[in-house]
Amino acid sequence: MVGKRREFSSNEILKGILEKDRLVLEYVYKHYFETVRKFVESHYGSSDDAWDVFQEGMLNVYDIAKKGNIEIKYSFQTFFVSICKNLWFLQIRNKNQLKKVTVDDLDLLGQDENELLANFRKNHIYRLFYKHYHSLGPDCQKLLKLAMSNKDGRLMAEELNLASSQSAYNKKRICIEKLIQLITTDSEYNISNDYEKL
Amino acid sequence: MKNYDKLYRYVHGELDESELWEFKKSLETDVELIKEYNEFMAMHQTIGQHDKFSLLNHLNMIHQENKKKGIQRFLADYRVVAAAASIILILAVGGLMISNYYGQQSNNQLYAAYFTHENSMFSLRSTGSNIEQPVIQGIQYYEMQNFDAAVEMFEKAPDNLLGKLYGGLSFMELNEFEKAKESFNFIIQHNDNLFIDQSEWYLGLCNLKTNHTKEAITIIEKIAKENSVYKTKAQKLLKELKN
Repeated sequence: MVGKRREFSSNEILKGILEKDRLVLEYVYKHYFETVRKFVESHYGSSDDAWDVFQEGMLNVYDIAKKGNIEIKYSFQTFFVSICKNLWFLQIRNKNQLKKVTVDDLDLLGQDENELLANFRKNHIYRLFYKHYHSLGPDCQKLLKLAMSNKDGRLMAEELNLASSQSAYNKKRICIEKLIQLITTDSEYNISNDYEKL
Repeated sequence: MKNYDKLYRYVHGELDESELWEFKKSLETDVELIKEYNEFMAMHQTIGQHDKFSLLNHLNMIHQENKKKGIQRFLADYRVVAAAASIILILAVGGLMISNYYGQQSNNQLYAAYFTHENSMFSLRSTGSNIEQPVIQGIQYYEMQNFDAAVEMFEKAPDNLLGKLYGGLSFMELNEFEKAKESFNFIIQHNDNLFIDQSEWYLGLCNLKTNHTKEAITIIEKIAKENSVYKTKAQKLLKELKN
């Protein structure tokens, strides 16, 4: 489409993230990823670290938008970049590259500190889940996708050409165990355990 | 996870009555089981969030597309440069304009590679606690990436060197390089402060960005020779500029 690129207000962005509107997601990526990348890179991180932080930032914004009744006092940029900065500070605080971060160093964005840290932790694990899901075999990926869509054992067995729903159930159990093992042995997993120790 | 089977069956309501009683009792006293239970529950909730999965799918798709576009742009640039080089060979006399254009591209790329957002934390620490109020506010705006508001605040304390430094950096973020240069020159001419290293480095980058390559090289050569924190970066940049 030719024409002036659309601008979005903060509320439109929140709504778009909640609805996973491709135009809004592209807008957020194009306008703010560079800022996050520059920030992370100027604080001992790499471009890949910045991408991880960006994804976690978006997951947190998604939760906030889902909760509703959110009033952003500043621009979306300020709001989002603050979340990403908090996330990065928390992630590097044990690497002796920065002074020990305490809760006073975080911009709480008007949220309860315990809730904020719990959400950060939850979404950090979610990103690890997403990362390791893709390292599972195709059958496990397919099965977990079906499980996420609440498909019953019979349907899962049909989709995967398994003999019975019991076979699907057993396979699902093995896949989840493998996934949990991958996540909990990831070096990034322990970072999230320290979030609540601020 | 040692207790995985038990936890899995517990969550799926498959433990019989005696197993359930035993499990709940252990959950009050067995530290390892408690830890694994918390981990398992966190994972169980995670896997259930299908909506977030599709959000990350969308984002990763966009990220991959942009990375691909970046490579394509790089290759396109490369083809333009190759074409320009051929023209230079053919039209040796008229090649000046083309070589200028090539120089401009390189300077922009080098600037993008070397300019990183400066964190205020370290400068604030070196300054101590005696900072004027508008400068503190300006730095807060700077950290919030609200560079217009930051500049407005720094202008309220025109002689404050910390304000001048972050004013200059804010101008750089706003692509107002001539104004940024004025700020950095002010600090350098003051000649007795903690921010000279930073000001020289960023002044060099501003000159690079505005295609004052000769001035950029002069100042970067100076940094590369001295004991500045930017020495290594300056040496590397110098090498790339002279290639």
